Amino acid sequence: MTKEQRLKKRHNAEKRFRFYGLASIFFALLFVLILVHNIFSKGSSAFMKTAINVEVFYDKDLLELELGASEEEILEADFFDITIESLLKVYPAKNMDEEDALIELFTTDAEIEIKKAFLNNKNLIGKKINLEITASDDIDQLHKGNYPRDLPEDRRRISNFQLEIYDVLVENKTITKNFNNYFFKNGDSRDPEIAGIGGALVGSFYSILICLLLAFPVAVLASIYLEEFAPKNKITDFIEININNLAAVPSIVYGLLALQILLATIQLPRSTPLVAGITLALMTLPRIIIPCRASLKAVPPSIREGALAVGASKFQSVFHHVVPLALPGTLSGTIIGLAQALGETAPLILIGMVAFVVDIPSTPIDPSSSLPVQVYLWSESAERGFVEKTSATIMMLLSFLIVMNFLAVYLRQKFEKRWN
Amino acid sequence: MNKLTSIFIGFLLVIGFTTSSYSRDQIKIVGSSTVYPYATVVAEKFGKSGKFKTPVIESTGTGGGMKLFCAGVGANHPDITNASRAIKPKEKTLCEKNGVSEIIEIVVGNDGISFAHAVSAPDADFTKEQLWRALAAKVDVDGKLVENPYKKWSDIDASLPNKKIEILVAPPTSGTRDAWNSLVMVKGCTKTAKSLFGDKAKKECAKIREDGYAVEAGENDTLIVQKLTSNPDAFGFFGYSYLVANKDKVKASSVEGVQPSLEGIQDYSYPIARPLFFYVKKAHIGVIPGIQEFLKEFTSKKAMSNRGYLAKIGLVPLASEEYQITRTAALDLNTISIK
Amino acid sequence: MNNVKIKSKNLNVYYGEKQALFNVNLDLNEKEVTALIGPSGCGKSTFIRCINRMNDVIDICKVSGNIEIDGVEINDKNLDVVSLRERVGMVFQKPNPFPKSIYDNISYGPKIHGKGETKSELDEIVENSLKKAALWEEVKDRLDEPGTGLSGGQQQRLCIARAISVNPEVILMDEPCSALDPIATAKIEELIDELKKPTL
Ligand SMILES: Nc1ncnc2c1ncn2[C@@H]1O[C@H](COP(=O)(O)OP(=O)(O)O)[C@@H](O)[C@H]1O
Ligand SMILES: [Mg+2]
Repeated sequence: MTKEQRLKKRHNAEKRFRFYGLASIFFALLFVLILVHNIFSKGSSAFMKTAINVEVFYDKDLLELELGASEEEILEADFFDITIESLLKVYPAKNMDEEDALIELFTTDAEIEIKKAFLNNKNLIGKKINLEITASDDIDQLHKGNYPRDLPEDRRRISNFQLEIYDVLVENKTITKNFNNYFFKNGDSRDPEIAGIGGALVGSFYSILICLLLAFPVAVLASIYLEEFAPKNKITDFIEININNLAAVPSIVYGLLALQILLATIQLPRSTPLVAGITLALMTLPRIIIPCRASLKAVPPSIREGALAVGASKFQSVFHHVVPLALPGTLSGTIIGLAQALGETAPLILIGMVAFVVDIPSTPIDPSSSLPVQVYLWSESAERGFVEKTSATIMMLLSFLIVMNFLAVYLRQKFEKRWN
Repeated sequence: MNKLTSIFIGFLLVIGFTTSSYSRDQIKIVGSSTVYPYATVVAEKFGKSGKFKTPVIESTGTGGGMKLFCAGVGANHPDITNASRAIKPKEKTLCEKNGVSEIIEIVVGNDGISFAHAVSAPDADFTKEQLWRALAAKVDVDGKLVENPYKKWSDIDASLPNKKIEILVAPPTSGTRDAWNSLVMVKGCTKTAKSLFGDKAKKECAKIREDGYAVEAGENDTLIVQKLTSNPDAFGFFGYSYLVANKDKVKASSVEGVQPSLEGIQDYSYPIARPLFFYVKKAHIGVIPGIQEFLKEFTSKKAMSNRGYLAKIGLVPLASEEYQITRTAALDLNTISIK
Repeated sequence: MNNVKIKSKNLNVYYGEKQALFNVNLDLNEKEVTALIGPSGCGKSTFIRCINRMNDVIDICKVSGNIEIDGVEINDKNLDVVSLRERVGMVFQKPNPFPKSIYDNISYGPKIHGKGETKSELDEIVENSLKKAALWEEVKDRLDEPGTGLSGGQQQRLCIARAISVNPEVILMDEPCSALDPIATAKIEELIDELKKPTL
């Protein structure tokens, strides 16, 4: 082989490698794109909700309320009659069946919405006002184009009569799409149109907070001790190996542990963020210790020697110099550990977080679900409206994860000190 | 540093405190995934009616629910467990051992299992024996037990379509599979096969083939519906409520000539139907607020009758005599014998 | 002739199995600059690290024999190394300023030893130390900038200033100029000569 041939061969090898590299990045991106597209196309409609404009008449006699009624009297009052009256005015119905079909176009919470509007403005007594009443799940899906209308009637959940009303409503522009505040505000519900991730958000927040409070100090102290103070011998080697092993233990094992110890032995309350937080903390602990030790290791020994040489004690050299330098790496490791904990489902199933919880938890010992669990629950529900809700919850979860990961990168880059 | 330590200790104290003084003002329900959709709807309505918190419902499967329910009396144990079958003697013994001696049984309604396929496929009708032959691991051919030889439906009976057998099967942990096993696999099992299986006939009849013609589909019934839509040759089975909710995508085939319907399931003329239950711990009534009121709501006409809201989402209501028994049990808190 | 400050008797140092110093007997006088010369790996660093017990940091390093400072044995388990190192400062081969401000680099030592209670006392120590290290003129306007932003020669003088800030009796320097250019080297050599003069 001549020199030129050899040179050419080397160049070709490099070109080939570049091509393979590009191709694999392209494939990886393609899959991410397909995934994101799939989730977004299904989920984005969940952020909107369909509402029907209804003229509500707060009839004094039907409500049995006077002007200036107290809050309690209003809460006690029965809004059922005026709700039905108002809804029926939307379209002329000829008989009971048609009336039922008409009322089915609205959410089961219509009465509550009408009551709320009144609580916000108590002067409405005896007056008429136009309200946007949330439409039922079926109409919502139909309006968003997720429900086929060209099927024969007996295979459809929406009857021909209901379709007829719907078309009129569309023509009159009394049916609208608004921002779906219920999705963020409400707890779980069996009616997709009023179901929300409010409870799951609070549950996840409490769980992660408890996880942070427990895992962070323990992990940091353990890493500092192991890295800086512990003698290097067989015992510490053994501990080191086991920490690495623990980080690789499947999360479901921690769920089993929590079930046995936290629920069965200590008898902490089931399905609560408290137990979830402790379980996740156990799981996250080794996952924080590892990056924490790595960033302590990355602090050059010359810094330690410099401090010792001016007469700092070991403790001072570690806490005045080494730990502050290792902090950005530690924090980003912690955030990434918490992000993993946030998306964790398997251990939560075992401690009873997979539950139907409507009330939004106010303390960490109230039963609660969490974001990934909500995804799991809704993906199993029969109602069609939950398909978009599932994807939208995944979108929320993904955006939290992305924000947390960015925060981790940002902290590391912003506060990382360079030492030469 | 000191601050950190004190926060940490404070935190542990809080945990200790909550543990020792934990009490509950919210009903806790566990149990069957089949009853779950009905119980959650009742719970939500109950919560909205104002006076009490919304009960928390966890879907653990019938067996898992019984285990939790029978573990003891006290705020840490559930008040109610849902079940897609009646409580077993073994479970009664466990309950009694742990001091759960008074149990109220409520029959919620009936559940039918539909054997369904995509709307686009031609209508079909099967007998239980045919279904068993299509699914069983071992069948009898000419008086001998053999590994299931059928590859096409027409291999079982010439009148059936000349198509490959493809059935999506619910996993063994699900209540649906339990019910399928007892209502189809055991009932459809031929006499010859049963005698050839001998002692273990029930278990052997219910064994499902593993040669690729029956595919396990996972707990997720929605996913089964999706798979059926994309493959018109495939069949699957799931609760009647899924059929109602997805009637634009899937349709039921007849079993023994009967299509699943409210009435057919109610009087069990549709052959794959079963009652659903829940069990209440009497010792918790009066301790955990709202249990009695919850029972009243669940068994009210508004919920359980033919025009009730549970019927709308696929629960098949009880016939009127059975309804009376259940309603009385709920109002008078009649316990069942657990001996 | 000045008095003997440091006395080493039969000093042996081992790194694990390997012996690095063999029976070193050496007297070093006060108010003098003593230089150790020898080929790389002959044990210069090892020897001077014995004088402020920096070898303690290395697990496998074992020191036997005696080292006395002002007649007091320092190779003694019960001796407090923190106060020893306050008296015996050290400058390393590679400049190793803390990744903190220039001011904090100097004030750290006095702070932990309780010298300079008030801000003005600290300011004075910082200024004096930097002046003695011949760095004051170059950095007096940017005391709150990071010490790691200085040039190699400046960094090494900063480290010298850091070492003298606690007013040590002995300063150990381990090839302090090996990483520096000739001009920076000249400056530091001049500085070393200045430092042997008694302080006021
Ligand atoms: N940390 C250490 N571990 C093992 N051997 C060491 C260590 N430090 C120095 N040595 C060995 O001790 C001997 C003396 O090293 P050193 O004192 O650094 O020499 P010098 O400073 O004169 O170049 C060398 O042979 C070196 O290999
Ligand atoms: Mg050296």
